[in-house]
Amino acid sequence: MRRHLIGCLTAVAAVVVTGCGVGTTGPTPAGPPASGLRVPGGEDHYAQLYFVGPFGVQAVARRVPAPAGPQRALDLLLEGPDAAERARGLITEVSTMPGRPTATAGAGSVDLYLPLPVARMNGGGLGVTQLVCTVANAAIPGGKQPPAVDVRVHEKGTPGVWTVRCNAAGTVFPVPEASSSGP
Amino acid sequence: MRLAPARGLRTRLVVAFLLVAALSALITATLTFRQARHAILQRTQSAAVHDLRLQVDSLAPNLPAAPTDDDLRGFSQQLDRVGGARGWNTSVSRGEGPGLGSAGPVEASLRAAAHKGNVTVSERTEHAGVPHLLIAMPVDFAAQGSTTPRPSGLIVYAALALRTEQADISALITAAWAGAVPALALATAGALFAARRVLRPVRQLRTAAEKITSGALDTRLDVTGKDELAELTGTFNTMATALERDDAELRRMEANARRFAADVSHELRTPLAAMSAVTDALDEDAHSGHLPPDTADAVLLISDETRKLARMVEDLMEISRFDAGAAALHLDDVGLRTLLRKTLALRGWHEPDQVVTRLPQAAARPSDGPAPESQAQDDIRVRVDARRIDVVLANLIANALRHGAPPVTVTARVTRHSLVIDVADQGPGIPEDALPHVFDRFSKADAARTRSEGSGLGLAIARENVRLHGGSLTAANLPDAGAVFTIELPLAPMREDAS
Repeated sequence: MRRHLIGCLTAVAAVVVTGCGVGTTGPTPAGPPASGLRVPGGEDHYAQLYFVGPFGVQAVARRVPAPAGPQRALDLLLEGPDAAERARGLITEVSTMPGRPTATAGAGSVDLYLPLPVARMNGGGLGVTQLVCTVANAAIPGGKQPPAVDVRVHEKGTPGVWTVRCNAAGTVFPVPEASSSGP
Repeated sequence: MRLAPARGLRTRLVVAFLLVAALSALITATLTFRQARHAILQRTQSAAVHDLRLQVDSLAPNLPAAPTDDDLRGFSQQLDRVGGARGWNTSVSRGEGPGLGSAGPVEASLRAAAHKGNVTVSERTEHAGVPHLLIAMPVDFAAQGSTTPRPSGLIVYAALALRTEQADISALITAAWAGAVPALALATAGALFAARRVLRPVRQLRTAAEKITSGALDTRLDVTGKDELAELTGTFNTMATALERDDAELRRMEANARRFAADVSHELRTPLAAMSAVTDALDEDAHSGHLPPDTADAVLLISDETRKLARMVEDLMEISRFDAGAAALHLDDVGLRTLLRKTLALRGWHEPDQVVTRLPQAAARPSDGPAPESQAQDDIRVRVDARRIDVVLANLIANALRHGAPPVTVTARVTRHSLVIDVADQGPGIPEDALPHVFDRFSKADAARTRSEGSGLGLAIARENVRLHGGSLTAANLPDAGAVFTIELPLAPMREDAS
């Protein structure tokens, strides 16, 4: 009888003493692994979109089923960052426009048509940078590396075209007129 | 070590209530606590794993197909930034290689589990008193068509401190204690209330039983409720009623018997007085020699028996007066020696061949020698009813002479509060089985002796007389031989009148 009592008390005390606090565990399974690494020499296609993060304009790779031309990349950019990207603090500075911007690929160049003048775009420079860099990194015939691709920007209601390029750091700079004539 | 058993019913009830309440509170609190803790930790862990997988899935395509160490460090930095409020530290390693990033060294067991099974593995550890959640998440290559993804050997580790969760769990424990203390207090109050409910009838029963024991047979209890205690109270009342009825019946019968004895003895006295007068006259004739010898013998026998009968009737009337409470005590200051000497002289008993007296005195004097007349100032003055004490002494000495053997020793001594007189004889003593009954009326020490010289009331009368003085009369046997009767009379305040 007394032995039982002492046993019960010990068990209760043990539960109380060890039960408090968070406690530790050994390795326990917590679901499947992550995925999405590029397969070396793989056939996958990626679209590189540019969004605005806490540290400036950042590139984001999205896996796409087929090579994405400038128009496709532009469409993806206009959809904005997905949940994971938003969680990383990425936003888009491309303002809402009265129409869709369009892009046409040439040989080593892209023609970007904006439905309103750049001066009237909210967010100004960063939005334009996103648009320019995204189309410049799309699949362009001509075999040029993205920093060498000329982007000709056409503003609606404004005469003239200005040519820019996007370098590896995601910065847009104008192209000297001499080389703008191109082939 | 043995726990002392609880004393009263109240203590036992309170202890039992407290034990049950404490155990219930403990079990409830423990189960609730464990469930809540599990939920808290599980949610944190699930959220952390989910967020980590989301980010790794999202960031993995940014890495080149063959990432350099710098690429991996950048990857880890980006993951660290995502941690945000959760504040995790991450690192990336290629298979068994070193971790690149801000997370500390990873335990081999976790690494091995993640690497071997190619599954996400989590673990809770404790560093410097702070619990940590560790996650090891392998990263697969992107799926190619419909085939399952291939493992890349790259493993992402994340370590996050569970400070918030620890605080929440501590709050749970605090809350459990805060709940247990009022619960125990309530249990104590309940136990006291229950004990009161149970103990009050029990206490009432005890008080009532004590009252009945001390003679208040009309004690009854109020029956409240319909529980077992109420039934017990009802039974108690029934018992008290029966007891009271029987007691009244017995008293009535006893009173009847006593009144009958008194009436009979009273009615016998008048004819006996006449008979005594006649037999006294006949005695003279018998002694004068005028009658024939046979007739004279017959007359003497009749007169002897008549005197005995008269004495017995006197004794009976005396006893009846005691029974009726009509015996009065007439106290007087008398000398003990004078009293005893008168008693002996009146009955014609001689010192020292029949009776030896040993009385306390100031002067050393042979107690059994003849005392001079001038001893009056040595005599012990006692305040008693002289007639009654004379009766007591005479009855005791006569009894001793009749049933024991002479000489009878009368020893008196004065203690602080009482006068003690022993009357001892040299006879065979009183049989043990008769000892408790010697003071009963008409009791015979020797059942074979059908006819006694005395009335059979002498000792009973003696005891009643001593009681009237507020004293006691006891009988015992001496160790060697002989019986001893001890009178103990209080010296100090004495009732003036017994009636």
